[in-house]
Amino acid sequence: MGAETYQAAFDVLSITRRLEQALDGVTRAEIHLLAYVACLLAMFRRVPAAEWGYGFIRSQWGAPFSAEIEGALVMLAEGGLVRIRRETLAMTTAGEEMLGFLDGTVEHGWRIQYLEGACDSALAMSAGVIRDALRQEPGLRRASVHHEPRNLLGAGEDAALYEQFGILSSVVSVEVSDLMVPSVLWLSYLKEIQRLEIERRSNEVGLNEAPNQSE
Amino acid sequence: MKKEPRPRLLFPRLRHVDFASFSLFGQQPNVGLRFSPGVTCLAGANGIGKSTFLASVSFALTGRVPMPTRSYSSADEYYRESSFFPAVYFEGRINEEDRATASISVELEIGSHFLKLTRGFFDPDGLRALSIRRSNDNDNPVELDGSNLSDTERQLRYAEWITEAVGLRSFDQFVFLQHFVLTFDESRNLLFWNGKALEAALFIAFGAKPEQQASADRSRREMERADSLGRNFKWQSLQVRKRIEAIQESLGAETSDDFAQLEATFRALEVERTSAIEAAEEANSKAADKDLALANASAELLALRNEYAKAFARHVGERSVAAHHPLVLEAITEKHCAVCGATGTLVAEIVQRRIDSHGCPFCESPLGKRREPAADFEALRSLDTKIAAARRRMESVNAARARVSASRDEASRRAALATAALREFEEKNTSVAQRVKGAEASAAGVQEELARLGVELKTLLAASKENYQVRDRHKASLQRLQRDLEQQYKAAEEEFVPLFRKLAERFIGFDLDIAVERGITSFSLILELRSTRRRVFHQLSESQRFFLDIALRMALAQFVSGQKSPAPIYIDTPEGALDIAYEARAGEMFGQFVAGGHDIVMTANINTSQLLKKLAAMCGASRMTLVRMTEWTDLSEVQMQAESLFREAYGGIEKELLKGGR
Amino acid sequence: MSDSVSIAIMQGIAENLFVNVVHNAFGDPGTAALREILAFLPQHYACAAPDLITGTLFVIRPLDADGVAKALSGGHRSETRIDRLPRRVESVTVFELLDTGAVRVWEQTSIDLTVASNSAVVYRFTPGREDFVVRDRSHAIPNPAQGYMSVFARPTFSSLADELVDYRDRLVRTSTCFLFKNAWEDHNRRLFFKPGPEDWMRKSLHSFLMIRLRDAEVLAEQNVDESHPVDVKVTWTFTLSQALVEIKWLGKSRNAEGKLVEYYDQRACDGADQLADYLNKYRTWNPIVDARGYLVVIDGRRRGLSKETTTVSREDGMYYENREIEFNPKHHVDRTDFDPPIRMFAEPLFSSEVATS
Repeated sequence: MGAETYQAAFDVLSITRRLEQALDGVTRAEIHLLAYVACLLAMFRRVPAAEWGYGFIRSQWGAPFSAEIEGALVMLAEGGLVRIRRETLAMTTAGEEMLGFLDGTVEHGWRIQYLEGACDSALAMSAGVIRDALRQEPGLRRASVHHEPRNLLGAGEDAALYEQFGILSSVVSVEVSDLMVPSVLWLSYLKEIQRLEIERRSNEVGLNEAPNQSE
Repeated sequence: MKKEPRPRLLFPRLRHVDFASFSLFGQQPNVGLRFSPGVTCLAGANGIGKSTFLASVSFALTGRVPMPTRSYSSADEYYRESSFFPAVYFEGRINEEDRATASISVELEIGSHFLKLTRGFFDPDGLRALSIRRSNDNDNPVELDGSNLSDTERQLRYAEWITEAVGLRSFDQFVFLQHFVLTFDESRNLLFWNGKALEAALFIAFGAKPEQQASADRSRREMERADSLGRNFKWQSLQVRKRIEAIQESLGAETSDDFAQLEATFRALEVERTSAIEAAEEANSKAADKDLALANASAELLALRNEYAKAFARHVGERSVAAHHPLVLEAITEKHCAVCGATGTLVAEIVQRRIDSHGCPFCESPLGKRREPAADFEALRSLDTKIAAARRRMESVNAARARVSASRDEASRRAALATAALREFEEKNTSVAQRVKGAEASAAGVQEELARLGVELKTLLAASKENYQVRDRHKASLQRLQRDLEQQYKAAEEEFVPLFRKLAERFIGFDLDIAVERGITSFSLILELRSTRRRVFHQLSESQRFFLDIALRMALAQFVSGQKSPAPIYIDTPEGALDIAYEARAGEMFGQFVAGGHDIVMTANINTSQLLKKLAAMCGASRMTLVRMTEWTDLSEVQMQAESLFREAYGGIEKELLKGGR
Repeated sequence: MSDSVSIAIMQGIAENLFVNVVHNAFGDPGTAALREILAFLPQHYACAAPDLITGTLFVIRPLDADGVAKALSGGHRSETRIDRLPRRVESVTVFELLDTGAVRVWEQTSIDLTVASNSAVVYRFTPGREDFVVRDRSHAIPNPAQGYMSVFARPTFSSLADELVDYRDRLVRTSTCFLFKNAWEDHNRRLFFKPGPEDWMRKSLHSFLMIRLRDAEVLAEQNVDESHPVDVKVTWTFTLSQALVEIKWLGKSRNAEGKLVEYYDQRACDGADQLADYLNKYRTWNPIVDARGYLVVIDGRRRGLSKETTTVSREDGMYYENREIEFNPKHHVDRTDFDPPIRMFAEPLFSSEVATS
C-alpha cells in the first residue's frame, strides 16, 4: 500500500466513528461522498487538491467514487478495524484504538477539521440532500455531461470551483474554525442555484410560476 | 501515327469478402458477402460502416487504407508513407480483445485464376493465408499453396504474383491504381485536380510499358533532389564569399581616433560578456546543487512515507484473522451467537475470553498471537515525527532553491544581454571587430585563412554547378517521357475520348470534350464544351464535378481493361446536393459502365435512392444486388429512425430490380 | 451569473440558514452546541417517531453553566439513556442537553422563549413546523413533508414501495405536504386541481423521496411527455438498480376561466401502458441497468363535480375512496419489472372543516 491508501484509511475510520452514533452507521456510498466533501473543504482553505492524498472519479455507476477509499475500506474490514454490516459500517474496539492514536499524529491530524466539517454537514442536512446539492458542484456537473468515466478535481480543472469558493469566502471567512458553517452554506447555495435554474427553464416553457417555498 | 499494341491490364474482380472478429459490425463481426458480377450496393444509415467496408476491401487488396489526404509524389513513396495509417484507421473500429484475431479474407477472380487471401487488420505487410488456383485446369488446379510460408513471404509472393497478373511493373503501382483511380471515397480526392497523380494514371493507361511510369517517378525525384542540393551549395558559397570580403576589408584598414575609441568599447563589451558568463555558470551550479538537495529531501520523504505505509499495513493486516471473523465480532459486539442463537453478556464474555487466550472459540485450535497495538503505534509515532521533520527540511530546501533559482535567472539574463550587446557591436562595426580579432593573429595566419576560404569557395561553387547539371539531365529525361506520353495519349485519344464522352454525356446532358494539357511540372485534363471550346470545370457544381471525376475514372478503367478481367470501380456515393434529375442520370451513367461488363462496388444512403432506382432499372436483379447493412451493427436511436425511412426507399429500389434488366 | 448576484444569493441564504444564524449569534460555542443537538436528534427520532409529537418538543443546549432552568417552569428529571426519554409529547416538553451527556427532561412545562433563546441553542418541533429559535427569532427548516416527519430523522433502507405507501398515507391523503398543497385550486376545499398540478406533485414526491431514501439519487425530470413519461427517477448509488416513477392524476382541474380538464380511470391505464412502453425502450438503451417501473396515481376524483360546485357532501367527496382502478393489460402481472400501481386517494375538506396546515 502507498501513502494514498493510509490517508484514505484514516478518512474511512474518522467518518465511520464520527457518524456511527447519530446515523447508526454510515453506508459505503456516504463515506465516498463525505470524503469528497472533506477534500473540497480543504480546497476552500486553499490546500491544493493534490495534497489530499488520493483522487476521486465520476464513474458510470455513481459519483463521487474513490478507488483508494474503497480499497482502504476493504483492508480495514479484513483487518477487523471496521465491521461491515448489511448496509452500513461500524467501528470495532481495535478501530477505535487505532483512530485514537492516529488522531494525534502529524501525518493525519491536519485532516480532522475537514472530515469533521463534512460529517457535521451530514448532520445538518442529510446525505441525500448533500448528494443532490453536489450535482451542481462544478466538477461533478461538468463530468456528468459525459457518459465515460472522468477524473474529478484535476489540475487546471478547478477554476470554476475556486471561483465559487472565492465568493463563499466573502460571506464566511476562510479562517473560520468550524468548517460546518461554510460547508452548509455552500451546499445550500448549490441547491438554490439548482432551484433557480429549474425555475428559469420551466418559465421558458411557460408553466406555472413557483411561489416562494420558504416559510 | 504509328499504332503500337497497347498493354491491356487484367484486374482482380471481387468474388467474396469475409470479416473475422470485426468489432465495428457488432451484431455480425464475422459477416461474409458474396459478390456477383455487376453492381453490389451496400445500403444503410450514416455511420453504419459502409465506408469502413470499402476501406477494408482496399486494405485487403493492398495492405493499405486510402488516406484522406492523399498527396502523391511517386508510387513507392505513397506506399511507404501510408504504412502507418491502417493501424490508426482500425484502432477505433476494432476492440482491444479482437485485435489479434480480426482479419479480412477476400476471394478474387483474375483472368483464369482464383486468388484467396487473408490479411490481419493490424498486419498490413503480411498475409495469414494465400492460395491461387487455375480455373481452367481441373487436373492440376493449384498454382500456389501458401500454407507453408511465413506471413511476410506470403505477402511478397502475393505482391509479385498480382503485379505480374495485372500487367504492371511493381506492387506499388497496383496500390496506386487501386487507391487513386479505382476508388472514389469519402475524401473526395479528384483525379482532375491532382496533377501528379493524374500524370501517373495517364502513364499507366497510355504509356507503352508500365516501366515508363516508374521511370517518370524516378526522374522527377532525382531532379528535385539535385535541384535542392544545388541551391544549398550555392547559398553556402555566398556565406563564404562574405567572410572573405570582410577579411580583405579589414586588411586594408586605416587608423583614426574613432577607431581607438571603438576598440576600447569593443574590449569593454568583451570583458563584460566573459564575466557575465562566468557568473551565470557559477549561479547555475549553485542552483543545480539545490535541485539535487531538493530531490534528495523528496526522496527521503518518500522513503519515510513508504515505511509508514508498511507499518500501517502491518498493523492492519497482520492481525489474528479469527479475532475479527464476522461471527466472532457479532458475538462480541451484538452479544449474539450466530451458531446456536444464544444471546446475552455471557456469550460475549466467553468468546472474548477464548480469543484473548489465543484459542478458536469454535474448535479451540490455537490461534496466532495478536499483535500488541502499543508496539505498532510506537513505530508509527516515531515515523510520524521523522516525517514531520523531513517535511520541514524539504520546505526550507525548497525556499533556498527558489532563492538561488531567481538569482541564476538574473545572471543568465545578464549574460544574454552582454552577448547580444557584443554581437550588435560586431555587426555594426565589422571591420573593427575583425581587425581587432585579426590583429591578434599573425599576418601569416590571416593569409592562411584567406587561402583556405578561397579553396572552400571554389569547391562549393563546383558542387553547386555539378548538381544543377544533374538536375537538368533528369529534367530532360522527364520531359522526354512526358512528351512521349503526350504522343501516346494523342494516339489513343480516338479510342479514349469517346469512352469518356459517352459516360459524361449520359450524366451531364451536354457534349463535353476532354483534352490533355502539359504544364511545367505535370499534366492536367481540361473539360471543354464541344461547341464552344470553353473551359467549364469551374462552372460546375461540386456534385457535378464528383460525378464527372467518376466518369473519368470509369473511362480510364474501360480503356485500360482487358476483356477477360475488366476493372471494377469502388464508389462511396457522394451525397452532394444533386438535382433529382441528375441523380437519375448518374444512375444511368453507372448503368452504362456496368453494361460494358465492369463491376461496381458502391455504398448508398437515403439520399441516393433516385440514383439507385435508375441503376436498378438498367441492371435488373441479375446484374445488381442490394445489401442492407442494418443487421450488421447495433443502431443508435437516430440510425433506427433513419432505417425505417429506408425501408420505403428500399422497397422502391427492389421493385425496379425485379422489373429491370432492360 | 455575476459575482455580485451570487454573493447576494449566498448572503440571503446565510441570513436564514440555522447553522449560519447560530454561528453569527453565538460563535464557535454556538456551533458546538448546535452539533450536539444535531447528533442527538436522529438518535432520538429513531426511538420516538415524530408523529407521536402532537404538542411541542424543544431540544435545548445551554451555552453557559447555568443552563436554562430560569426559562422553564415545573419539575424535571434526568435521563442518561436516549431510549428512556418520553415518546409522546402532548403539551410542551423540553429536553435540556447537559454537559455530562445526560438529558434533563421537563414535561408539561412552559418556556420563556426570549430568555432561553438568548443563552442557548433552541430547537423546536411541532406538527407543521420545525425550527431553530435564535435570539428570539425563528428560523424555519424547510421541510416539504411536514406534519409527520423531521428532516433530522434518519433516512431508511426500506424499499421504494414501502416509502410510496408512507407517502400516500402520511402526505397525500390529507394533503399535508406544503408542496403538494399547491396542486389544489383551493387548498381549503380540495375539490379541483390547478391546471398542470403534476408539477407540484412531482416536486413533492421528489423532496419526500430524497430525504427518506438512503444511498439513492432522486431526480425529478423536467421534460415529461408521451415519449418520456417518467416524473421521478431513482438511482441507488453504486448499484445497477433504478426506479422509474410515473405520476398520473385523476379528477378535475380548473383554470381561471373555469375551463375544466378531466381525467378518469382510462388515464391511469394509459399511464401504465406508456410506462411499460418506455420501460422497454429504456432497457434497450441501458441493457445493463435493472430498471423497475412504478405508476403512482393521485386520485382526486369526487362525485358530481360541475363547474359551479363549491362544496361537496361527505358521501360525494369520499365516493372514490376505495374505488380501485381496473388495469387492462395488467403489466404488473405480465412483467417482472413493473410494480403494482399505487393509487393515492386525496381527501377533500368538508364545509365544516378547515385546513390545519
